[in-house]
Amino acid sequence: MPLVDVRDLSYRYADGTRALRHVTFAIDDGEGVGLVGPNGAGKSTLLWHLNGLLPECSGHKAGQGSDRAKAEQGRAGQGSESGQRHSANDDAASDNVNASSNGCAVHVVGLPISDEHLPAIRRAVGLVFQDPDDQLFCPSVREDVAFGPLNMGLPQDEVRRRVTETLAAVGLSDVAARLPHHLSVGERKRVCLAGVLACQPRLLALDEPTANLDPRARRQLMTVLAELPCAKIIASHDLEMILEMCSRVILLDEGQVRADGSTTEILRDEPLLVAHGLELPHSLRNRA
Amino acid sequence: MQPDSINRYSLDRYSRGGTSLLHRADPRVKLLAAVGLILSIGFTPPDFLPLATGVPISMIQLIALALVVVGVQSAGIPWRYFLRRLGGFGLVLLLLSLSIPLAQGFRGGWDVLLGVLVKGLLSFATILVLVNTTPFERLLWAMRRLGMPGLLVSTIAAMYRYVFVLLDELERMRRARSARTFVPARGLSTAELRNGATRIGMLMVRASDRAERVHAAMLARGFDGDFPMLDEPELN
Repeated sequence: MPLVDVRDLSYRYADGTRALRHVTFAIDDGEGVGLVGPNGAGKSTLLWHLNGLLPECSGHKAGQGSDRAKAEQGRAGQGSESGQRHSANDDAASDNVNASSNGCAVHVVGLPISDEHLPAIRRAVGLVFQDPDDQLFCPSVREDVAFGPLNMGLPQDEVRRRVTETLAAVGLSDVAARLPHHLSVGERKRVCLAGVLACQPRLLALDEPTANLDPRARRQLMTVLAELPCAKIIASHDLEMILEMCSRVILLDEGQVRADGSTTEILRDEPLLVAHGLELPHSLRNRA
Repeated sequence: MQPDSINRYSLDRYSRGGTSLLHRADPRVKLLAAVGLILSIGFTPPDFLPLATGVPISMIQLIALALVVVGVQSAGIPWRYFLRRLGGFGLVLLLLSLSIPLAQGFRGGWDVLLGVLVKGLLSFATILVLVNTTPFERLLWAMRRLGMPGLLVSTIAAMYRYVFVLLDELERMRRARSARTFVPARGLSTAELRNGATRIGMLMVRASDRAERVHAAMLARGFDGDFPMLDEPELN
């Protein structure tokens, strides 16, 4: 059983924009997968699906009702997920989501994405956001790293142990008592990573991990990532980093999977890359 | 980029690393003392134990003033910094309280205005002493321990966390605008006011977008509406 199984996933935003079309792929334990593609290709949207942040209700439901109704439903489902028991309306919508989960397009550790499975799914998939300020919302670094484990209901001793361990793993043992807004961008990115690693996910989903980092901070982050045993899916424009970190690449454009295969093959295919708004990594240019 | 706005706007620059008695005291005691002091400042009429007839300050408020002075001095908070922050607050308070004599056509109400200023400034000075001798997360811990609802404490924590992020965004927008302003505006024109209003609107939109992403990040780490806390060791 693959860790993540996505079959024919389509998604449309409430405003009608088609973000994902018939996306199909699977990720196994321990794999390193690069997710590349131009801006607006749907990379972040896809990552949000893996964590159950976006409702998963339009795949396998083509033909039922108008597209507009589906979009409405998608939005309502999103609301019920985030706010939980708010109104009867929302409950009805989330029933719809559940009802469709038999034909669910995304399965994580074998579970379809639905309200009842969300805790287990979010435990299995750790999502690291692009902007560290979105993710570091606690007053101190220690509390932020402890946030996930505490939500998992772990005892205080275990939480404290994990905070110490993960901060050491990302090389930031000395900042536990600091405030997030006193840290550099690179440090903040690594604290975000620690906050997710503390939940001990089986798949780490990273959205542009090296964006806005100077070469040293980028290298530090990559060193930390390379040592992690868990599976990784990394959405990025940093093809050199993908080349180093991932053995497999998925190329996404206009919400569709355009290529899925070995990193060295896909990132060497200049016509393919150029056709989808990317370019040949410099390190591969000379060797060709 | 970040440290700039932190230094320029921070109200608690001296909360960390101090070794004074006030810095070392239990945050719960400090919080309760500050709230108690503010209540007594606020609820004492100016004619209670008056110094002299006509002076809008009572004995209680004078004692509060003395306590604040002792606090600032003993905690080693620089007076220049302290008075600047107090002055900034005082200016806003003055503008607001001008509405009292304004409502009476500037024929009376000056004594009330003075009373409001005294109470407001003294209360704010008390808070300044509190936050400059207590790291914010210790203060949050104290609030939690004293039984404040978790949602309220978390809201205050989020406000403290994001105020600098928002100030930075405002600063970036301002800079981006001045980089494309070739004729500096003189005084307050309608165009200038309209620009300011637009900027505030943009900041609201950005803040709301960010709030959604932050919420998603919370859900992604298993948030279910309840704010769990890491126990911190008791202070002696």
